[in-house]
Amino acid sequence: MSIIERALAKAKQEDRAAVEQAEGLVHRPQAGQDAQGAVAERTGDVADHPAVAAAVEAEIEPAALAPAPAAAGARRVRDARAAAPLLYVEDLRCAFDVSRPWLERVLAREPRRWLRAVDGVSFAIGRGCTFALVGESGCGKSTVARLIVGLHEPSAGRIVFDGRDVAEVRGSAERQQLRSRFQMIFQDPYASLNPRWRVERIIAEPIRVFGLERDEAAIRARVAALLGQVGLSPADGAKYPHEFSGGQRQRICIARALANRPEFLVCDEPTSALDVSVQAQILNLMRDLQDELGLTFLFISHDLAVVRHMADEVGVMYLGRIVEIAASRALFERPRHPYTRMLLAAIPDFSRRGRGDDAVRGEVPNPITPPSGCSFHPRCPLADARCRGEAPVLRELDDGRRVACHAVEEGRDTIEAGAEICTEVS
Amino acid sequence: MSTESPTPTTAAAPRGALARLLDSDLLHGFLRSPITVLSALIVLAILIAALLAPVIAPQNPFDPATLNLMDGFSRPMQANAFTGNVYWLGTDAQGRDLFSAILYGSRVSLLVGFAAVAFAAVLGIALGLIAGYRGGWVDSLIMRIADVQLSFPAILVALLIFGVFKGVVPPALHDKAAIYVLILAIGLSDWVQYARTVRSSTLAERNKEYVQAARVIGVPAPTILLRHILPNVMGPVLVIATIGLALAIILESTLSFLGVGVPPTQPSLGTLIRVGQDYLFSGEWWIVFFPGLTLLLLALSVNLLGDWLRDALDPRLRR
Repeated sequence: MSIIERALAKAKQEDRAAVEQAEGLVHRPQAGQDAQGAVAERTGDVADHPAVAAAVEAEIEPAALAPAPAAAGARRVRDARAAAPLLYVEDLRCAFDVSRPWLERVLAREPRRWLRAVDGVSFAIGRGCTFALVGESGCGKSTVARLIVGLHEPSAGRIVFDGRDVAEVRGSAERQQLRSRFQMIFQDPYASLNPRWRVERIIAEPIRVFGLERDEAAIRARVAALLGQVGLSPADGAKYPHEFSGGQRQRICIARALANRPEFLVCDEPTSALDVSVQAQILNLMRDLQDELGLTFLFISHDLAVVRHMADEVGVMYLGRIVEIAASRALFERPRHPYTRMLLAAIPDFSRRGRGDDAVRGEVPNPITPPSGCSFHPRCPLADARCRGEAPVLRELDDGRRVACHAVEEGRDTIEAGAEICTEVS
Repeated sequence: MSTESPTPTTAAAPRGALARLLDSDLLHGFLRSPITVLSALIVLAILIAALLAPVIAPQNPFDPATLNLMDGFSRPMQANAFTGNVYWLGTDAQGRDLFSAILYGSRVSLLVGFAAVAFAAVLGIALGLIAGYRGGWVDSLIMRIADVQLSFPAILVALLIFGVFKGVVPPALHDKAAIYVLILAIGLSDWVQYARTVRSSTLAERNKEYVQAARVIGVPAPTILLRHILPNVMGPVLVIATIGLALAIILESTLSFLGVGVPPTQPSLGTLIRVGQDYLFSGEWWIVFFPGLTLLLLALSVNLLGDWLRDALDPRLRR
């Protein structure tokens, strides 16, 4: 159990008992129909917990409208509309031109070179759910976040927000209307606040840009309310960002992100720049706000412990592609893709002390010249000739998860190496 | 487990700008450096003297009616052989009081210096911001023009602009327009520095997350540039502008010395030096010496102030 997990557990003690049980019941693959009975059996008062009741209902009702089955996220699926995704992306691609300047390229007779940062990514996020993208540095997870909020233009593919293709939204008024419905929280709280602006001006910026409040008194009142909402004092609005600690700055970032009352928040590694003890506070704050405001999160992270506690559904990315998508609990309990297993096995664990850290083998290949076939094959213990020649596609398994791996598809993944890792992780 | 309290313990009320200035490292550092204080005092003295020239000056050196040819070539602090008048810094060939001429000359020099720096800074900052933020071919175009211009000495660029001006503007207007052309010429020869500095800072700021946060909510690019990026790139610009002021004053004097600057009827420090150097070998040293000394003190002090400002604003050099 990591420090974060312990901090989370401590902070959420009361609520957690019920929530954990609900999660456990719902996510257990065979829980299905008899979930209700199981709840009743275990403890009478847990079944009365509204979260449990709603979660059980959500699980029992088939949620099949989404391209990817909307994760039956136990904790937050309280909304009847949860089945329809708030956002889905289809075959999203983004390539960056990394060629040398034109003249040099022509003189050296080089072709253009492209870095395919995102190479055909598809996923869906249900309303009120948290979808996490995990992967090593450079796998394209942050690029996906940037594509969704419009900081980059996708080379191909569709981003559909609440039933509308984002690329088809024309006209600045409509675009602004769409923009006002999502927001982003950034990784580095030291760079994401303008050092020359007072906090109140920073938080009020979205309110002013979207014209949500007209008179200054109303803006001030709203800023004060936002500061209170994230656990800061309204008097802090008059200060400059450098007067705050990293955790407090991230709270300011969250307040700014909430200022235009968005429905959807893209969180690009929101806690990776923070102290471990502060991480838990920020994560708890985000969870509380999600429950309170019904927010939907796209959560980008490389920290699996954080993802485990935040996400309802997890997509594992490798070299610009998603290799496995599964409900959070299922993924952590029984990872299927060899890369997912490798990542999970790399989580430090005191019980495995002294056994060396050979879990992660090899390095991420150069994304400009990715390996042939399955791009993971140079590092994969299960790779064979087919893996080297043919790129696998995401295929749905019996338990609803989707995995892009020939070995899993052919049933070659039950060999001892994989099985061993699995048991260790759970 | 928790090291951070959600509400900051220091809930001090925002202090006024003056209070913060009085308590800042900047002021403490300033007072610790006697040379800087002296430079500031000299610049301040020359500024005030130039501003109040009509009040302080014993005579108006631009008004021929107040000049007496008999007073010509008076030595400093000595009574004139013909009239018995005493001039502190002596007079020139026309009997013009050099002290008054220097006061009025500093006015012209400072005016041209400030205006040229303002012009160069506005032009350079605007082009640098655009180049850094837009990137691509816009950036390449602006920066290649800057590179080409930088490969010529500033004085050549200024002379070229003056040559064009002489050819385009009718001769009757030459004297009237000379001072504006001077500002234009010096400004145009100096914008590159601002553009390069601002561009490189903009490149760094553009990718910071606070700019992206503004882009996510659809803040238009001009607003991002002016409200977000500009305040964060102004530090180095301030330093260049201070040093640039000294350079502009010297360039103005050089141009006036070469006879292409302001006309002799409204002499700047450079014009005074040019006029004075004709008499240098016949023993009338003061005509060139005092304007030269003033120019030296002014340029040196402004330069020292700029150096201090650069060190003070550079966090890496802070002790």
